[in-house]
Amino acid sequence: MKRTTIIGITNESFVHPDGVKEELVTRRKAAEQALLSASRTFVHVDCPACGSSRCVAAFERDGYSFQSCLDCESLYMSPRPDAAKLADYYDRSDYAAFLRSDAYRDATADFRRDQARKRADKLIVLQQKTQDAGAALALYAPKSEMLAEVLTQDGVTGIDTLEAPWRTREKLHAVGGYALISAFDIFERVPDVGAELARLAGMLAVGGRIILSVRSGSGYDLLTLWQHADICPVEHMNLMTVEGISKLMEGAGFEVSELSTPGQLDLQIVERVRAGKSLKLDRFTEYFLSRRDSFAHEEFQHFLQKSLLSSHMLVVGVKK
Amino acid sequence: MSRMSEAMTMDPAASARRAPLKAAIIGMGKVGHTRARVIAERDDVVLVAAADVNTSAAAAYPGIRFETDFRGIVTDPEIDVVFVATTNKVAPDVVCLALQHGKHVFCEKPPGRSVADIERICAAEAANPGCKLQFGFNHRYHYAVLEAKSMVDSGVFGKILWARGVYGKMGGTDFENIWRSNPEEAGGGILLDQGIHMLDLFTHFMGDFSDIQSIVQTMHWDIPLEDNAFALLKTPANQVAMLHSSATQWRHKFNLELCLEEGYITLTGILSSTRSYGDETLVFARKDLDGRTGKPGNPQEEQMFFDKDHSWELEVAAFMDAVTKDQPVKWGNSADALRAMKLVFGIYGVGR
Repeated sequence: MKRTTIIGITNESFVHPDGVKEELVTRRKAAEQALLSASRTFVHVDCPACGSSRCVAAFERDGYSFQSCLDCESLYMSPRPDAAKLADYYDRSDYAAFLRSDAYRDATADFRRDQARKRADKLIVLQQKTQDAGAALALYAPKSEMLAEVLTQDGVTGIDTLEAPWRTREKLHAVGGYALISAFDIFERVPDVGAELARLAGMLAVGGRIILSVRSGSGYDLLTLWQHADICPVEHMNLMTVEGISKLMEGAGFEVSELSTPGQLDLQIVERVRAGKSLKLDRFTEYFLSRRDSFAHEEFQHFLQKSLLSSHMLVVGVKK
Repeated sequence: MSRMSEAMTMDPAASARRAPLKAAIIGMGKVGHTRARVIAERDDVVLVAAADVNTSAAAAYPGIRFETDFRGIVTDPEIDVVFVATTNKVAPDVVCLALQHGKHVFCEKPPGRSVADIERICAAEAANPGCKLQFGFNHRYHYAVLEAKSMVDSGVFGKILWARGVYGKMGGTDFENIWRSNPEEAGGGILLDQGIHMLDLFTHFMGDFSDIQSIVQTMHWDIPLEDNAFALLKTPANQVAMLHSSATQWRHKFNLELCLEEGYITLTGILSSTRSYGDETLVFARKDLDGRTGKPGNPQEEQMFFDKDHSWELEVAAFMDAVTKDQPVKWGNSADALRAMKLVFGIYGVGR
């Protein structure tokens, strides 16, 4: 099993620049409340990762209910909106308009360019490994067009885009048509994880690969902060654990070839939320944050990555 | 979750549909035992015979035909596949005899004590084109190397500018008395014994080398073979590889750096049964001259680490695939072995 970690930690302000953060949060909360007005249509679901119906109420966040799976310990929203309702949030809200605005795009351009470059590198290497399955590549619900641009600049051709569940769906591609599908930062948002993964699996050739990145339910930040966690309820309705996503992938017919947690921001998130909400956390965290310097923080973050305890997961599956 | 990585998969089930091939191992030292373990895990091949001058090895394999002379086993029509894990002195004779009797052969590196040895083997192979022949350059099948190979071949960082490899051994209290330190049995020192793996990796990543500069010395141990070799190699495309192969490292060490036009890849450690070469890791980064991703001169890197070594299994799987599907041997074939041996003896020729 391969695992990936990051040496050298990104500053949170690079990901979420201060200049647009406040506006972003204000609009996002308004969109969340607007969506909540349709809560009578929300549906109860079982664990999106392992399918277990055994759960316990975890916490409420801004009117949304989160459950904790008693089997794989994933955290998930239930009841939850369906795909049609999510279109209001992701496509028609002021929040969505702001995400598409020049102001936001300009402010985050450096981060998005860096992220697109790194993701393109991963996809190009994965394409090298999937030669037996062909070369067709699909980007599932990419957050921006920048990834496709970088890939095209590198000479990658024949890139398709597969839309998220709340968008008008493409005609189903030929079964087994793709050698590689990427799904970056999307599976924490989709209302029916199992159905979406099965749909993508059906589009892959045998031996083809899927690479997905997703916010982790095994992250130190989440487990430490819990009800105070730095999550956006609608966008983090599926916080699957390492164990949960392993079951999900295997159940969908994938052999997991990489499962990493290369998240870099756990300690920065915990520090920020702790300060912002004047929280008193567990004794170790309080001591560590107040008594140890940036070197120790970076080492601890690296330990979290290596131990599959960081805030984001990277998973590669090979279709069996 | 599967034990195997994405790079390659073994498929014993597919090959199990036919009767398993009958295998013999010649040389039941440490490596011979490892090959026996790997064979025992497969359905397409079964160990039926073994030979070693030391009869004590037989006790571990009840029910297996065991002899002290390899000739009777290697010429037996019932044997399909021969694994050769002898000393360098004996290996060429075993390989040639097996090929001449129509066996598929897997031979540990190095393929003999001289270029003449591997050339003799190549001639035997050419005379028996139905036989598959593979050599044990198992480093190609380590996960970090597989990953690096995919990265290089994908072109994501451009072409390789240079490589720098260090492969070092601790030596040991009995180092001067083992067969590897005996010129008659080994034919060469640390470079032929261990450095050949790094040379094979250089050619794996960079192709052929046309120029050789080197220093080959016995610096410490009381042996008539080199305990250190330093080499500079250049390809026709002006790529340069630098090797240090050492038996005076005072610890086990493996390190291979690949510098490419747009980034770098560093392999550190190589998983072994004792883990004495450390964790197997691969660190890579894209060139970042203006320090966007980290600090200037210290870019943000990604590190992959691998917690399992299946190189022995993957290597035998590739060999058995070649045998059962009648495919060419992809890696570790006789051309690879000849190339590596020519480099070893080219380094000896210049540096001594």
